[in-house]
Amino acid sequence: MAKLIVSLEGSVIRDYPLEKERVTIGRKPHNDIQIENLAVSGEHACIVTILNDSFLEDLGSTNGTLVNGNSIKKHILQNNDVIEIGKYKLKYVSDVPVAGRTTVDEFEKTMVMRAPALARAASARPTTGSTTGGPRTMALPSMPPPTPRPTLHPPPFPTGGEATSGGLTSPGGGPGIVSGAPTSPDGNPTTDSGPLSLPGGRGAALSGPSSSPGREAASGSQTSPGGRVVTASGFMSSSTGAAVASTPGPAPTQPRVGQAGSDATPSTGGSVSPGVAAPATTGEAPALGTIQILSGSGAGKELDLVKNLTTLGKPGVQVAVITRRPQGYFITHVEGASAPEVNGKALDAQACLLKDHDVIELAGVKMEFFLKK
Amino acid sequence: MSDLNSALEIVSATHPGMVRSHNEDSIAIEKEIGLAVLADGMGGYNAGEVASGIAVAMICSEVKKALAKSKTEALNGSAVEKLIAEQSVRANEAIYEAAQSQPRYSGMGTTLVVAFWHDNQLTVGHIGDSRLYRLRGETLDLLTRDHSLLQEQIDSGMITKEQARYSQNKNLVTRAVGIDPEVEAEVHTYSVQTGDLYLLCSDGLNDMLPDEDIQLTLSSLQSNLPLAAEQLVQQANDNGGRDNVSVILVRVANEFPNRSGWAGRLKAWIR
Repeated sequence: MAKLIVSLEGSVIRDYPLEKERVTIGRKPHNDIQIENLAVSGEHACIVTILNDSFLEDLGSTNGTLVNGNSIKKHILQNNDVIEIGKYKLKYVSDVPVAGRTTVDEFEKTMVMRAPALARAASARPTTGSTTGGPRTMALPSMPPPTPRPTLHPPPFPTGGEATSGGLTSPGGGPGIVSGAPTSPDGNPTTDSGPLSLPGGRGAALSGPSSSPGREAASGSQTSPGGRVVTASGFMSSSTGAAVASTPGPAPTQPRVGQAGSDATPSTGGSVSPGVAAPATTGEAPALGTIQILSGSGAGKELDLVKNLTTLGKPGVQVAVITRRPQGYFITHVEGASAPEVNGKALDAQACLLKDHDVIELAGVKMEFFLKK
Repeated sequence: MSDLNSALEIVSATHPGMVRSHNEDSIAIEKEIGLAVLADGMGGYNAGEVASGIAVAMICSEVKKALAKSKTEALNGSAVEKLIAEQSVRANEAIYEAAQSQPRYSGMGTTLVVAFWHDNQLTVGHIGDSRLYRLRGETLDLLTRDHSLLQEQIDSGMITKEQARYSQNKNLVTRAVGIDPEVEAEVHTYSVQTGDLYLLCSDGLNDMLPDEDIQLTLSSLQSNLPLAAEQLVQQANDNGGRDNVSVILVRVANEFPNRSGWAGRLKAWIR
């Protein structure tokens, strides 16, 4: 589970696990994380945690909320983000997976989310919610007991099958399967955590905008068009529930969905994002490649190869592409009857790694490739 | 049947990526009938491949059968939509039953994206987070909307598209084939223009490669589709290749009006 490490001027004061779906931060005593300092507003900020993502939102505080030095209104927290509120620093740390527990492979596998716990929580609230454990999380559409659902619209789930189910099905019947019930890391349902989803939450999700009073920014409208509730509904609706201001009673513990996700993923977070942003990150290491035209009318012109792909040549005549990869720059023939030449040698179908000061001849124009330091 | 064979240029590429040991994606192309199908399976051991394989094979053979049956009468747009929706349902039943009856397939499922070109139109059906993009001119449009938690979060305004890139919940789909006894494909029909380039892909591509890079690759390499497909896969892998990557590229080189129906034949004759 993710946590916040609160520190003041370099000394750590306390850790707060983000175990609730919505954790509030502020000066007043009812906040989950109370910071008694006049620079902190009464209700300063909150963090809504859904599955593995935590969203930080400034609640209109007087002095604002910074993340990594930037003022934010809303922010999706990444591992090691530092939130600053007044003089206090709150470091967001998501779980570091224990080596060997799960491979990267497992926690990124596509999984299906469904909402059985919700359906059941609403229809037969008290004890259900734990059909999980085993590989089959199937909640058949016919299953929901015909118990009256007082708070809901009569046709709560217009979409048959998927609507009644819920929670997370990891494929493969692996350990990742979770219904809405919080699941302990080894895949055993831990039923004791009580009903998962507030009826309020679900009601809000199902019955459309009008029924969710005090909807807050973080919750947004969950009613997807066509009443396709499945999803998110599961989790997001409960977030709605929580966000619908002070929910009656303490907010339920957040469904710790899919250990496959919850404690495994954080590490991924760290590595995924760079992956995605990679063109920049990976490309930065090697020196910047540049093409300088040597002959023809454009002689002397330079072109920095900043993009992943740069095409050169005349369309329809002869075109080559230079790709920027972690290993360096590669040139490949794209179109044209004859292939471009590198150092006097025609390219074949394979990509050719460009070396510093290679000379390319393309559509009658000579150019030099070099690496800028 | 119209001359789809000459109207469409189709290439594909699939790769297990840099992390996974095997490829759970399945793809199929039936150029003669203008059909491309891509499925991203999930499930332990090899059940993912089984699920995606069943989906792809069933859709192909059933669509072919249906076309053969209606040989004399051209299928109109709504009939095609119905056909794809129905076949998705059947694929779902088949996978669901297999998963129920055989413990080793328990829990398997797959995403699905089906693209069917007919009568200067494209009908797309999808379930889950496999996508279909269209490059028209320089503009890349995503024609499918993921059935995923992330998309729901974006739709609800909880996070922006930019933030979504860094989300850790990328892998949660809200609809899939074979998981529940019933599922509904989202099916839409679009008009097609000559020069359009379509991309079907599994999330292994678009999770690793921002749309701008996809756009850049497609627009700069559209004269060489096999290279474009290879480059897409390579970039996904260069960026980490955390998942199987599959792409199908379809370029529309000519119009393909329907000539099989009565009206079509007349039009063809007048030409």
